[in-house]
Amino acid sequence: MKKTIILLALTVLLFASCRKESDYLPYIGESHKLAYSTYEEQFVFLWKSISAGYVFWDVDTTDWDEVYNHFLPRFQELDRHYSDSGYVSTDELVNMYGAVFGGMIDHHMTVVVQNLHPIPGDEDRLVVLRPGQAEVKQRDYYLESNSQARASMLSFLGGIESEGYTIVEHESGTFPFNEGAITSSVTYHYILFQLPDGRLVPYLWQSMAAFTPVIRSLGSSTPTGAGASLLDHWLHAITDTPRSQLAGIILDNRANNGGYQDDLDYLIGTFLNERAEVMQTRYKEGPGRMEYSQWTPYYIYPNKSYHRDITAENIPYVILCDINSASMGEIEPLCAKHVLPTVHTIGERTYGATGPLQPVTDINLNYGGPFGDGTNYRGHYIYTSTFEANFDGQVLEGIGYIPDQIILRKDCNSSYKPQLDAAFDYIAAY
Amino acid sequence: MKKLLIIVIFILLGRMALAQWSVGAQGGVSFTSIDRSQAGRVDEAYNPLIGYDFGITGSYTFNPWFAIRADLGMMQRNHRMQRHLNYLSLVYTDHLNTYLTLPVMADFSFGGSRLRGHLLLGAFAGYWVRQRVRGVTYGMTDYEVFFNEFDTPKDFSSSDRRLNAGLVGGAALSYSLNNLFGLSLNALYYYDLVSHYIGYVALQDYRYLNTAVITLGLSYHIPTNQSE
Repeated sequence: MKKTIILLALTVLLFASCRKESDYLPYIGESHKLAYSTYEEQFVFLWKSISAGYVFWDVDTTDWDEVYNHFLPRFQELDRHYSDSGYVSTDELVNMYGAVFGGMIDHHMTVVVQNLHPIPGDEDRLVVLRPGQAEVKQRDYYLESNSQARASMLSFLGGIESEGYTIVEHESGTFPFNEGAITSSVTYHYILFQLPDGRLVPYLWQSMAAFTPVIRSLGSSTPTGAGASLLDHWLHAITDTPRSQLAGIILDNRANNGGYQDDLDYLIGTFLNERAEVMQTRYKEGPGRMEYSQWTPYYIYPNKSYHRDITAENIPYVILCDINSASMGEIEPLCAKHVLPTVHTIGERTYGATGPLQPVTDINLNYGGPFGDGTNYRGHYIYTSTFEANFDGQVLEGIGYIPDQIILRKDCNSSYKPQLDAAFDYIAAY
Repeated sequence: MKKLLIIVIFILLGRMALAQWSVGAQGGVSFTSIDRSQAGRVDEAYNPLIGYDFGITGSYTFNPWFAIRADLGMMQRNHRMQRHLNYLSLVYTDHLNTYLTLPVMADFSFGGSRLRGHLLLGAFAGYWVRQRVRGVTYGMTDYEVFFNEFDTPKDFSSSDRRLNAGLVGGAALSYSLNNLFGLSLNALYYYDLVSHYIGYVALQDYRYLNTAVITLGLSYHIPTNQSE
């Protein structure tokens, strides 16, 4: 009996050693483990990080394993090329990584890769890829880049007085703001339009979604405070104008390339009586491509400083958006349409960057989100969404928001006016 | 060759005639932990969770000190992922997994005629029947973190390996109430050799479950001609 037990125990011990060791799991907070010295190692590191941290694997059809199998030998070939010649062309690397990341649907994504051994004289050149932007440029209604579109918009609004509208008030300016480590500036145009019947339409154009960091300076004599004052005037025009004189509201998000989530507290919360679920978010909770957290509802609460029940008073709220409305620039019309019955949207299908992001300094939060050296771009820097969002059950990354009323700028001699005119027509006829 | 086969069959039949079948039912609690050699993020802790284990059991006694025992049970193999990064320390996910488990063990026994000790060693196969998750997730605004509780069934994905297998061993005490019925107290440890998670071409992340179970059993000894 003893012998039998010993024999069995030894067999058990032998089997017990059969558990396998895992590969190194990329954890983007461990920057000291990011070192690599070959093109192959660099590719494998990026491949693993995206495999584990990309938040759109449930809707992105890229075959990431096939990417590995196809490109690994090609990066190994680059290492051999370097051994033979002492350098690798950055153009070659652009082509390779362009093919690796080219099909990904994350429209926030920016890929920056440093060439480890560039041709002498080409040391400062980085591989920079924006797969989402490349997709947007392929759309048949694409006209110009976001920065060009913003310049066109500013030109249009700068000359609005000569466009035949009746304007009661017009305040505009570019306002700097600081928010944590971020210093930026935002341009606003607040215009109080008057319809031919005498009723008023408070209008706001915002170059980016920075309502919250700016309006927090309300009352201060700083340049940011001046921006806050402008926003306060728009909000008070909405909340204080008697119903008989208020025809409607216009928020113009054309060429607005995004910003702060909390802006929803003002742009939607002002009009709520009770909390409303505007979207749901989830994050990667493991390195498996389908290892997500559960969806978490994102609620907007009634704003404590400004309030008007536009639903009860049946006041139309028109939001303009276009192909250059990206990130919060498109999430705002999407969410507003979802919870406010009098919202009407006009313009073009938006950019399609709907995944909320946290800055690279918050990399401890998740498997996903931006990673790498976003300051000096040593090695790599990947800007990618931290959360996946769904709106009424739909993930719209890479698709964007389709407004109620489509008017393409390309069909209007590239003018911004017809979309705005449509907003006035809608409000006048409401 | 034929003669040899006939002799072996006769020997086995002879042993079976001396042997005794018993069947029974058992139930108790399970405690499961998870082993990952590259456990995810640094602020994730994997903690054991309690569950249940119940089912039927059968054994076949060859001689006074040796039997083969097989159990068929529904076993919960639950574990918790708990975040402990300061402002996310409320976040956790309980993975509540139910497995149909079939351990087959050699049962070496010793002791008196009524109270006996057992040493059990063998292997098991399992099938992941269902999973449920509960816990707390988080979301963020630009200025604050907020939390949300959940408790929901979870669909299986292509990353889930539903068949598993491993080693099982432990000890038991049995007490014969009379010639037909007996009670047992069992302590078993299930050690998976198959990862329940399927990784990727260059990103293997093996996850093995370890489950300790303590059960109370009631057995019925099927009378045979020899034992009557």
